Amino acid sequence: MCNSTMLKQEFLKKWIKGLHIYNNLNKCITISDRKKAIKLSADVAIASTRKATTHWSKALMDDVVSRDGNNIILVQQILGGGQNAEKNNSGLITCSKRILRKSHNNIIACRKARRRVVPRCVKSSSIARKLVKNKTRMLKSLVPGGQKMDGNCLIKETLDYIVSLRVQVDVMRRLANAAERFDP
Amino acid sequence: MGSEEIGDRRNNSSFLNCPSSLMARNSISDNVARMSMCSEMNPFYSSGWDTIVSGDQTGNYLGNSCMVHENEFGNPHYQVVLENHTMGSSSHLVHFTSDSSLLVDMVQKIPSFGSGSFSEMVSQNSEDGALGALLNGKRKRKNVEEEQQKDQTGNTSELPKEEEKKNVSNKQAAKQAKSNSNGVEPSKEDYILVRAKRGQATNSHSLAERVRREKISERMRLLQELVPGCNKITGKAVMLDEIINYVQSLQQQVEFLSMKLATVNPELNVDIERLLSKDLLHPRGGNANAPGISPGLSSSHAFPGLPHGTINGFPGTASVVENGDVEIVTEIGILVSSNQELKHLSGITGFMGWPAGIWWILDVERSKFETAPMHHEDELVARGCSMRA
Repeated sequence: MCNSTMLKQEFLKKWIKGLHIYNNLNKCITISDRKKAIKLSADVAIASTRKATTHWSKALMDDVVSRDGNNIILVQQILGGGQNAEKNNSGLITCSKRILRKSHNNIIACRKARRRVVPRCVKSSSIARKLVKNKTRMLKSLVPGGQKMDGNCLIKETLDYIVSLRVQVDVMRRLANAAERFDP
Repeated sequence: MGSEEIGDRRNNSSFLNCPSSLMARNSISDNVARMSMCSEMNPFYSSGWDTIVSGDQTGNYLGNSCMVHENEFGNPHYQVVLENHTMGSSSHLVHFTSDSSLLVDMVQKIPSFGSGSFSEMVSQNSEDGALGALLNGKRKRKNVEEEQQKDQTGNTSELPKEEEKKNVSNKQAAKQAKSNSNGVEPSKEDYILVRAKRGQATNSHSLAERVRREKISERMRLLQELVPGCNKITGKAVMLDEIINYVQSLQQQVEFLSMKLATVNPELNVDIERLLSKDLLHPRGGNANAPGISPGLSSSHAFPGLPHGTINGFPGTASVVENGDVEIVTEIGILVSSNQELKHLSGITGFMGWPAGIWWILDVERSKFETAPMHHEDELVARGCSMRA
């Protein structure tokens, strides 16, 4: 019942923290810089609400860290507190390893299959399967960390990611509306 | 009687091939149906064939049953009878299940014949507790169907399918042992116990595949509820299309909103913030703020749409952190004021002094939080969490 509201509060909390940090750093001068800072802190905040229980959140965090070294690590540390401890979560690691192995095997199998000459058939089922494959590929590119997931996991992650995105959009929209009121 | 027996035995050898080949083509239901026909000729059945019946060889048994037919109806009739059976197998099955205990004995001796749908137990490691429970629920539902038909037999062990008839004798013992040990309680173990429906393959791979597909379809259904406007869509490709569009649109919204926030002009907020810090921090009651705040606020002209009465719970001011200003939140007031930590965070000024009376003003905003879609989302989040577990 209160889950959604609590999520939003948590997100807002962490986002504000991040914004404070950026503010103190005083690095954001241009609008694009500001925008990047806002978006980054929002992403880190929403990823940290999941506390590394999902793949997309971990992938998002890794992405943020790899993008720009120092500042982001700072932000991450302050926002995340125990985020670095997430990597010690053995359960998830084994799960992710299993998935990585599976997807790796799939990739290898696909490469082998591609080498063989496959005659083109015009069956409707194969067309449907091709469509679904293309779409899952697109979805994988959208969801952070999607490349390493198999179909089953992908849908689970998408579910969670959509919920988190909605939370993010909702809170940001309210803040934007509020800011608009004072800025006619 | 003796001459008849001899005659029968001779016929047995000659006709054994015929029924076995026919067996390969016909389903077990036909055999069962034939058995039901046999039951109508009780005297032959019970006396002469017990020894053969108790043997493990199904072929013999079937041959015997066919033979009985043959004796009764003659060759051409036999063929006709078979055809009739193929057509009306289901109806015969009903007869079968409601027949006398003789048939029950038969079934127990030759476990290869089932009373209705056929099933096989497959064990798998369950990944999701929730889904495991779901599948166990499905199993239990199927259980009920089968129980009704198995009542007479009293035998709850699982029976192999007709395609694997040839391997029956080998695998049967193992399967029965497994199923007997499992009993009717799937929930004890880690496995997802699945039953193959009638007419479905019982290969362990295909069963595992079916479980996986069911999981995926279950999750797709949840996604359908989450993505707006997807209730009527059936089909994976279209559904995936909608999901992709939705995720893309959400991501674009995030980009757009962050750009919008970046362009907020912070200067105006400084005045408001000062006003707020002066006026709001002092009084902590609800309505007491009204006289204090309104003169201060009227000078700001920042609330074109706000009626006078709402100044009481001044929704707050908003500023953006970027230039060192205080960050304030307006409609997010509900979020903020209901969470102590947030109040501390967001308040260099502002929030901490928010009166409790702010709630009635922000009722409109609050309704946005507490409408049905939100509940729905909570439910989905909860379900998603449980699925993740």
